[in-house]
Amino acid sequence: MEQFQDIDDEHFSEKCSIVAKDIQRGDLTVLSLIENLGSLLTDTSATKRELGIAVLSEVLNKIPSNCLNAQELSVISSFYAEKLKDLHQVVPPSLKGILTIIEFENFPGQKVAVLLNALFHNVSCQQQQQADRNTIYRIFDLMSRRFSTELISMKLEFVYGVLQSIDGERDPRNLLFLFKWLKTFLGLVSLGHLAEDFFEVLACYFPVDFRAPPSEKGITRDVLADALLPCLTAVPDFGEFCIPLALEKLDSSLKIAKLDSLKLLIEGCRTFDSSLYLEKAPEISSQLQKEIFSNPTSDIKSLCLETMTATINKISSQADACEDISRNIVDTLKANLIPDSRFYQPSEDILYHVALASENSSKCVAKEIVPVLANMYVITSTMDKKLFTLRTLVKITKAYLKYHTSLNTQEIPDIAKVPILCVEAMNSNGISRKIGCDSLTAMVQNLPQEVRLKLYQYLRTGIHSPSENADLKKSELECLKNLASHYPSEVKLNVFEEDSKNSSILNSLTILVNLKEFRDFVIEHFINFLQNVETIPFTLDSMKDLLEREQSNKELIQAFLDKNLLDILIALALREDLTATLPNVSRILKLLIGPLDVSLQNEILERHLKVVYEKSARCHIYLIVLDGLVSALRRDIQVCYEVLELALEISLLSQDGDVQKVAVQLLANLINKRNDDEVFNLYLDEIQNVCLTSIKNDNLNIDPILTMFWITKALVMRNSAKGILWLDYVLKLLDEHNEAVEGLEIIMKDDYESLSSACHCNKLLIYRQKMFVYITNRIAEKYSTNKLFYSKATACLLKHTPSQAINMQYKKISKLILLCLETDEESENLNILLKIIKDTLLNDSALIEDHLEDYLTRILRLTSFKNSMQVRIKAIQCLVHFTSLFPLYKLIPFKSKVLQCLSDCIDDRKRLVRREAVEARSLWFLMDAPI
Amino acid sequence: MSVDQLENQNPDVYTKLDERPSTLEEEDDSVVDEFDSREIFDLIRHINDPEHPLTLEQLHVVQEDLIDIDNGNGTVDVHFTPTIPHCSMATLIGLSIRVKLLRCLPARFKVRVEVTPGTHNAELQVNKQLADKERVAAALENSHLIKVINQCISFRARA
Repeated sequence: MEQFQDIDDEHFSEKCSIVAKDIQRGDLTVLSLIENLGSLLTDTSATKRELGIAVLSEVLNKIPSNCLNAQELSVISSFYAEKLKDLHQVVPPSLKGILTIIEFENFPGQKVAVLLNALFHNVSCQQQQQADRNTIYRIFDLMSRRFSTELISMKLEFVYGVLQSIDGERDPRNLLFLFKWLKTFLGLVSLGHLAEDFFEVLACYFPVDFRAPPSEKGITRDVLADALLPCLTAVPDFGEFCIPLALEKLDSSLKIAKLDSLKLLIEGCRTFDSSLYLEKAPEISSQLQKEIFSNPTSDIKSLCLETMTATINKISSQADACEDISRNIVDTLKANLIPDSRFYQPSEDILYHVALASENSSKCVAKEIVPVLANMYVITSTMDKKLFTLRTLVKITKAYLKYHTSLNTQEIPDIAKVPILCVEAMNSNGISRKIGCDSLTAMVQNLPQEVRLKLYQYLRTGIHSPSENADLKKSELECLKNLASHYPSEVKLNVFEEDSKNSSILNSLTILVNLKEFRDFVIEHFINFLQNVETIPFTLDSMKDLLEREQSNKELIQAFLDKNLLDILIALALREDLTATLPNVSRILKLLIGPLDVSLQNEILERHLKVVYEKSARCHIYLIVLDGLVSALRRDIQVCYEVLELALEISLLSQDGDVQKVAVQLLANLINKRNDDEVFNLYLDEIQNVCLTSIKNDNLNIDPILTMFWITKALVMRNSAKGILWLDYVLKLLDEHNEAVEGLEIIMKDDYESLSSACHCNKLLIYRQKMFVYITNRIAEKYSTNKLFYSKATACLLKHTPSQAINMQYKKISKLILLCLETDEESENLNILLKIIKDTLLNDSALIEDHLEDYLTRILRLTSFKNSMQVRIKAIQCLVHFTSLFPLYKLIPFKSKVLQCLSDCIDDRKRLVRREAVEARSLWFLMDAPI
Repeated sequence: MSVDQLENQNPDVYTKLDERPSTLEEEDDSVVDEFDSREIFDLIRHINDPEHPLTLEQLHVVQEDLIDIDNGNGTVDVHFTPTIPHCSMATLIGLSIRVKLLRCLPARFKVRVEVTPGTHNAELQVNKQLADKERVAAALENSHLIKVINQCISFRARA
């Protein structure tokens, strides 16, 4: 025991661990430890006693919590209770020890009261240091979790003790801990006559006024305020003190005080007795109204409105009183509802939120306000003021409908006018039509039949004519959808009954396709429309749009297939007179076939492939249909090589640009999905030979080279072994055939539909990043030989590369980019480069900062780039970003140069350029100006 | 500003204009856009009032139709209206407008900044001060004054 000399010894903890291990092994018992410590524990010097207890507490802390039995624990806890009476110096380690032993599994519950009494009587909590106070609170916390019954049996003694301990706590860390614990504590015990005292202790923190030091991350004012709130509203007993407090603080001029008080009132609705609110309701509502009228800031206003709703909802159980309050509010505000009044908007807000609160209040508001507003609507002259009142009417009606299933005209005769007024508004011009329509949409379930009939009539003319106003159209369709879901047969009969055939009726129908009653109805319409040559083009258009919107809707696709749509479409496509619609047919085929499973796809293929293949072999344009049929197949289905050969042939020979594009993409698609076997490898070699011969034969045609690029893309996408070989090969070809540089774009671009995952293509996740690194490395090697070409190639590459990849590779390509900026004269490339520089500036400005001068001089050149205003604008924007991203001392040397240069830009012939230049020049001027 | 008492405690506040929409012509690279009064207005409407946290536009100190521009002769005439006739800030506001235009307009324009006739007690004096190149230059040498002006014309993020 002599080894424990000093509590500040750096090996103190280690030594304790050794002892703890001895006890664990059974070499030493706690009893013998205490005996050994005896001299220390009873020493006359307080420092020695402190050390002794510290050793004991630390050792206890380090042994497992099942090591000691109840009897041992009982003795130790009595000892600690004794020690609390000792000198102040000895208290902290004792507290630690207590916290440790109550954690032990066998700790006897009856000792809780002993310990707590000793604590309450001998230790004055607020005179301890922050850490020790924290220990005390943790003892409370742990006890209330483990020994709640014992604590409850202590009754007010415990409450009083806690009350005294926490009264006056100032440390935010402790407060946060306390607030969190007090929630459980208040749920556990009953406060009795101490409720008011306890509330006072808590209320002195309200509203929390605490400015966290900047170093403190975790604890802020808001965190503390949020923690305090549930404590103040934890028990119903607090209600009678809490509501006056909230009202008093609501009157303060501090914004946080107002916000916190409102939150308190809302939160209080959950626990406090409704009679309390009833008593205070007139006061609350008048104060809230005052706040709403005088407060322009939206967050206070909206919280006030929320409080209003909560309060009235709280007292709604007392029907009479609730109605009294509501009527009171309505009577005061009614006079404000004149469209010109400054108080119109806030009054409307209040009334709406009162109506939202409960059944009674909504009835009361509607009863009083609807007649006034309906009358107002009639007597106001201008349309925009009418709309103002209509909007309020609809809002109140909606709130009414929240609690009532229908518009009760016996109770409130005037409420029936609301839908009628809406219909009336729809007969007017654009904006009021939309408002009328939206309002009716919200009330669809409660419209009387005669209103519905008028609405159907209106919608029929609406959807049969192409609309000039997109917003209005959207509202109309939304309204139609709502109506259709509630009155399907009526809608079918009244809106779609006529046999007119135009595109807008189909578009309106497509939005109903997910309603069960309408799906077949819609599909039949589509198929009917496909019978007629004139209607086919737009029918295909809207069918394509519909399927693209509903790509994952398997039921819909199945429903289409059940109606034999595939057969109809293919028969249609192979007709001689409809070649213009082929791309749409192809797209629809892909959308229909893609999601199906292998067996169904096989079936379709067997039925149609032969016919379509033969037709397209004879006449190349039908390859588009073939593409639709095969390119969305799953990977398990291997299409025969004839199809590939046909695609290759067309992509090399076809004169028709569109068909050629389809062919080459189809080829890439199939190669991407092919199984990697012997035959395939041979076939690839064969393609290469075919392409090379046609390059040799016709030196000017770049199609064969681009075809090779496509095949390369298909291979690298699936990470094929041949991919890199092909890539090397095409890059070599590129050296000789500079005009095919757009091939690089093909490799980097990712959004080709023909190689998408919807077509079940193999796609390596980061193949573009891989390719980008590979190709830029090669270009960097060869750059000096042919500058102009490689700068174009760089731009082509960068156009579609994801910015992350660029950032990672930026150091390597920065030289390329700088040289491009210097030499390139093509505005498109410069645009891309400047955009990349801008992105890099924003993402990782250090990359630019290292070569600040190099970039700055080149960008300055581009601020007066003649050929494109976009380049000038982008260059100037880069200069703007410079000012905010780089340290002043790096920029100052260039200031006069930049200002000189920008003085030309502010006289640019384009206004948009001047606007950017003015901004940039001001910023560079003010950069180091005294402010 | 160390102002103990605001001169105009409750100024009328007007709504701000929207950002100028860009037209097809402006997007077209081949067309030359001439300066117009709206463009000048856009330059000065965001200047902050020295007294209130509002812009000159919100206080109607500057208005688009009080700006005349002649591209041919290269002159720009800006009239500004102090909120009250005895406003002591009138010179400062005029100076801010001048400095802003000095920095943001090409040098080929001759800029004249004047008080709208009949809106200020010391109209003539203010106009004379603002027109005097020497005095403007001297004012800008004054480190305190230039600080205040910079504060007024410092850029605020475009909406």
